[in-house]
Amino acid sequence: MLEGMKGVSSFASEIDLAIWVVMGISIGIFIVVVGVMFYFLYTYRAKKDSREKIKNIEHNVYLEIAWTVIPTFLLAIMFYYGYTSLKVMREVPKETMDINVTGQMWFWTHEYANGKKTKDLYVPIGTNVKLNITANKNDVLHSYYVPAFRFKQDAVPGKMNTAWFNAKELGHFDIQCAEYCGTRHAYMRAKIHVIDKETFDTWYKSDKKTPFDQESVATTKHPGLELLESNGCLGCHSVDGSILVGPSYKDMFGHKVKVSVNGTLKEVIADEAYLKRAILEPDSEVVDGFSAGMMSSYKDVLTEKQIDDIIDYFKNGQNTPKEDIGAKATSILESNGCLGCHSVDGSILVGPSYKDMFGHKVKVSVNGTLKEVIADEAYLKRAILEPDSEVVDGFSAGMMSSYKGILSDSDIDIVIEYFKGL
Amino acid sequence: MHNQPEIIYDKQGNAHVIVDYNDDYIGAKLGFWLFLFTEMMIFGSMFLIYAFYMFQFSDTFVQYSATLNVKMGGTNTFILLVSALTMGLSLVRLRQGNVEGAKKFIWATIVLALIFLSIKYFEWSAEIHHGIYPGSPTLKSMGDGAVMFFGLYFVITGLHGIHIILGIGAMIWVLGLVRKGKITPTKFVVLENTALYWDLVHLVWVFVFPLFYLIH
Amino acid sequence: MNTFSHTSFYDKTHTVFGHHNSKILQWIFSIDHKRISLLYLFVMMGFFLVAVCLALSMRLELFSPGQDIMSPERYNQVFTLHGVIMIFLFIVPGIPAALGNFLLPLQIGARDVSFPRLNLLSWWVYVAGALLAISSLFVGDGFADTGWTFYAPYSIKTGTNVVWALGAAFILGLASILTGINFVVTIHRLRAPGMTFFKMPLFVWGLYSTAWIQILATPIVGISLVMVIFERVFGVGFFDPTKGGDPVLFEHMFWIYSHPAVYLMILPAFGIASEIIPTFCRKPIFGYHSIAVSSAMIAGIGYLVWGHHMFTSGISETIKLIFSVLTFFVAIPTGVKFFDWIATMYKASIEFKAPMIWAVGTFVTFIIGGLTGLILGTVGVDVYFHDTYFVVAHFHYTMLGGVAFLMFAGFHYWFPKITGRMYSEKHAKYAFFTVFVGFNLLWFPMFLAGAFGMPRRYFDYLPEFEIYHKFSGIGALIFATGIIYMLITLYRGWRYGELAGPNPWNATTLEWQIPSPPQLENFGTIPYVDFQPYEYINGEPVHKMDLGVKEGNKDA
Ligand code: HEA
Ligand code: HEA
Ligand code: HEC
Ligand code: CUA
Ligand SMILES: [Cu+2]
Repeated sequence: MLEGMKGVSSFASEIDLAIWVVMGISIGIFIVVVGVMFYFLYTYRAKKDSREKIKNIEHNVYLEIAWTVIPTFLLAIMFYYGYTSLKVMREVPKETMDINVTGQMWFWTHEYANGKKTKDLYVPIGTNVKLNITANKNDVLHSYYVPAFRFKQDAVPGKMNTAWFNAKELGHFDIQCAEYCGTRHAYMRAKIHVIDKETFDTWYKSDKKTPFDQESVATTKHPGLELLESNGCLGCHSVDGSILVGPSYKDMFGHKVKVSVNGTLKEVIADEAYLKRAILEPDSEVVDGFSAGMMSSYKDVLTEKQIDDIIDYFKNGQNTPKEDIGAKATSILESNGCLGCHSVDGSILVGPSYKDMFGHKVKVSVNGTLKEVIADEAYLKRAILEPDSEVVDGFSAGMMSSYKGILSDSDIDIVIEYFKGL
Repeated sequence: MHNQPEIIYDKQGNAHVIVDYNDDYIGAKLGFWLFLFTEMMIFGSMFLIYAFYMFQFSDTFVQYSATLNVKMGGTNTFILLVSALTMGLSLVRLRQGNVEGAKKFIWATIVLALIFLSIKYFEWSAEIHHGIYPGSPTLKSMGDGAVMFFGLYFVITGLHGIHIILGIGAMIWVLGLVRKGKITPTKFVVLENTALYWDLVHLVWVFVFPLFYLIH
Repeated sequence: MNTFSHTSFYDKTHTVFGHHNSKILQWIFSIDHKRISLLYLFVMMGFFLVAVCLALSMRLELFSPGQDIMSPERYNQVFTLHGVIMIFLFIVPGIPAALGNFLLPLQIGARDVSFPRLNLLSWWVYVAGALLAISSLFVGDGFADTGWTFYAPYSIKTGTNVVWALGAAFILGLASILTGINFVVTIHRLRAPGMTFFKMPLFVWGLYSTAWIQILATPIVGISLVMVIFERVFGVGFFDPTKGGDPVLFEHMFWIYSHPAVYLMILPAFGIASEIIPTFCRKPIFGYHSIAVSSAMIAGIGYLVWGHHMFTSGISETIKLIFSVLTFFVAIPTGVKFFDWIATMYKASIEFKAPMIWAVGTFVTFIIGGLTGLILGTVGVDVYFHDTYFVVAHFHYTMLGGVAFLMFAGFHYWFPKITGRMYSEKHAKYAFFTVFVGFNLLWFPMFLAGAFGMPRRYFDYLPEFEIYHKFSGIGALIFATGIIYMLITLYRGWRYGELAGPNPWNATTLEWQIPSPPQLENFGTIPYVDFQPYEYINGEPVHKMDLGVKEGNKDA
């Protein structure tokens, strides 16, 4: 059900008024013009003697002036209402709650100022809400359309558009996608839930996924990771294997590294002691391929305990306990729009279903030739990072875009772990 | 069939010539001008896109403009200028009745056009050799402004190059018509239109050259 | 009067390569504008039939919510192909290339168009483009699924054959440009002596304005489409945000052409109305000059309003308001035309023959289409209506209920001239009423669906919209019946109808002063035209001429 044909936003009544005015004028013009035409058609239809009564009138200056001036006047009225209705819709009030909206193929993501991410939008009643609408850079055009709120704004990849509203009534209202975006364009739906302020505030401060959830989903962050973030380590190092200025933390602990000590190369194992040295005296052993002098010592910055936390994160932090996998994976799949194209129950949407996928044979076409592969970890990772390199038979390339840089390696691991159990 | 002009008279007895669609010099010229108009719209829209991105990435455009080879570009500008002259002269010669002279000048134009193309070829291959071509990884790593600048550079100069090639084709066709006696000192509209076309090709380059080579 | 002793163009023709014995070659290589126009007509109607079948299959799919007869992917390809065929193959070339080609030389007293070979070439180019579009159906992932608007970046991303579709649209644009150039030159050069611009029939005025749009706007969309091809093939990046390109720029480039294109469709159609109205009102048209000039004004202003398709794309508020004002300005010259036609009916003696009924019916439907266009031009309102079925209904009311209906009116009006025979008046009228009822039942509910929030290009919809789609589906079937009825009536007229004679409607323009069907090179005598195109006294044409044969002695 499309909920709420009644206007719900603060400016909806202005828009409705404009609609009624322009429709009214149009219907009026239609009745007059068509009415006069039919009157003439009837009165001056060909009869026996009507030919003698023909009057060859070819001009009438007054008439001609009248029928340019009167329409101009009517059009001016229509324009005026177009202008006022645009104005209320586009003039964003000063005090707003800002929410970032991202469209991607067949999925909307709402991100609140405190980092909360949701599929549906939850807003308190009577609050000015400003939406910063865009689409993922490697995605396509979408349009954020909320009929009950009487606005629509395109989501353009690489550009930020804004819209605002102030919901006047409690309820659940549909968001539709109004700009054609491919196969599941018609299903790119979500809802705006207008809730009372208290419920919103409690939810906003909690770690519940939605205000309607009973339990909270704890998002426990490893303390080491928090330290890495707050100390700017992640400006140069990644946790997902990609190389920034320094080596990545991913798969570092316990593995061999080639380092140069005073110009000679040697191999060491990245154990606790090595990692501690690397943090405190970065220039003593320089990882091959990176330059000395880039990283400065953290001797006076981090305490002993903090360094231990960080190293513990390198050691254990990147594995997630088994129990959480289902919930975490589902939330990753949901908030990245995977479930817009893939199902977990065997039904085929746009892409193959995840059900019974892991460990089974799949037919894929690689550059046009079909071959069979086993859906193991490596394959599935490729499928997520380079979806077009192996395209599952029966599906089309180009539909799924690469999640490189969007999903972290650990996210992917979690998801793949989850696939195993389906 | 239509050798004699067809004449009709109005009520006052004045004679009026009926224009014959088969042999209408002014019509042929007018039609060709309209065609040139469409060409201008095509290049005009390209320049519009250029302006749009120039506005957005002006610094990068200036920066990469400096990397283009002004000497080669300048030489090419000069060559096209001369070729416009030779093309014009061929028309003048033809109208003077000097068919052989006209042919020579057309050949000269063709040679100049080929020189233009080969210089363009060397320029392009140098850039491609440096890994700069649409969709190349090097180009992508140089940032959005560079992608736009070189994208426009390759597309516009490429489109212009295609026009040069078409022009050469037209000139060879014209030479054939001259040989067959279909273009004569009194029936020269095809040559004239080809010359007009060549002027357009040259005019477009006069815009392309400063836009890409000289903005730094 | 030995009017009937001529041999019509059906018997005799010029071809590019001189004479051929084969009948088929005599047609497809003919450089006679009348034959070329019929070639266009048949190919065009063939594609219309294809697009209509696609339309009916969409209606069938939408008859109930959920998936019924095709998958979402297929549906998206179907509406794209439907839009592409209807726009680029049917309605843009429709009136100028088919009816215009036939009538332009006849109405201005010329023996052919200025460049008969180019005319034939543009038909061939048109056929090549059409074949390219159709052949992409059978390759790889099938026809493009981007919508006829080809918006980037989807058109860069999708795996379907977008390059083919774009290439086809580009080639069809070329054909359209060639026709435009040909017409402008013909109108400038080949009018009969004495016929000044303001003595030309109004259909010619419509064609003239159209031809300028073809020349000036088509290259822009042509190059934009080529750029999308480059994007896909070479990865250039002009419209690709991952490379710094701007998708909104593509929207601008596309609509700079495609908005004027809608006037390119409607202006010759208005021209047809301006021919039919005086003929069946039996009096001179009211406001000849204002009708003529308003065509040019619509064409001119029509260039400046493209932004009204982009009110939600994020362009600045000021620009939106400017585009809204300019959009409204187009309504004034359009209104002038309608008022002139209606004023022509005042103190007339109106004969309700089939062409007249078609024309009047179209006025009703087009005014609905045009007025809803104004509603869409109202900025704040369009933000709500944009990309809903309200827009879809608007453009079907203008394109189908305006252009296509007037084209059908024209078919009926000039049918006796083209075939030399008459159709059955009675059946033609019944067919019209079936079409009219079906059409309104088909599209009016869609205004409501759109106003209640049903977005377009939706394969599936929420249950409360079902009722509108049900009506619409039934309307489509009635409508289809009506169109088939019309075509059968015309076919029977062509095969078995009575001979029509040169001037069955007793009309005034030059094409009616020569035999039906006309002969090769049209005129025996070309008249000196020192009179207006529509001169009647008490319902009778003032100038009755017999221009089919040569006036022997004046020639030497
Ligand atoms: C033949 C084709 C045709 C014609 C003639 C028109 C005519 C008009 N169109 Fe339409 N239009 C389309 C075909 C056409 N359109 C198509 C194909 C699209 C959608 C494309 C897509 O997205 O796929 C579209 C979309 C479209 C939009 C964009 C909607 C959106 O996507 O959000 C708008 C908005 O302004 C618009 C406005 C108008 C206006 C103001 C006119 C005016 O020219 C109408 C003028 C006519 C009248 C007003 C009626 C007669 C006049 C009187 C009786 C006089 C009295 C009245 C007054 C003066 C007030 N059109
Ligand atoms: C000239 C233009 C034109 C015409 C005439 C039509 C005619 C019709 N169109 Fe449409 N349509 C477009 C141009 C046109 N269309 C465009 C440009 C789009 C946008 C595409 C996009 O979004 O990209 C569109 C989109 C569009 C949609 C929207 C799809 C969506 O958004 O999801 C729908 C849905 O029902 C539709 C249906 C129809 C129907 C039922 C008809 C009917 O009115 C047609 C029915 C006709 C008949 C029933 C006649 C039957 C006759 C015969 C069977 C015999 C014929 C024989 C011969 C000719 C020899 N069209
Ligand atoms: C736009 C639609 C879309 C989205 C969103 C999407 N995918 Fe896909 N996915 C596809 C398509 C289509 C295929 C099959 C073609 C291919 O292999 O590239 C596919 C294939 C896959 C495969 C291989 C499946 C197999 O059977 O071998 C995996 C694993 C996968 N996707 C994971 C993901 C994950 C994880 C996400 C989200 C983070 C995601 N996808 C988001 C469309 C999508
Ligand atoms: Cu997203 Cu349509
Ligand atoms: Cu428009």
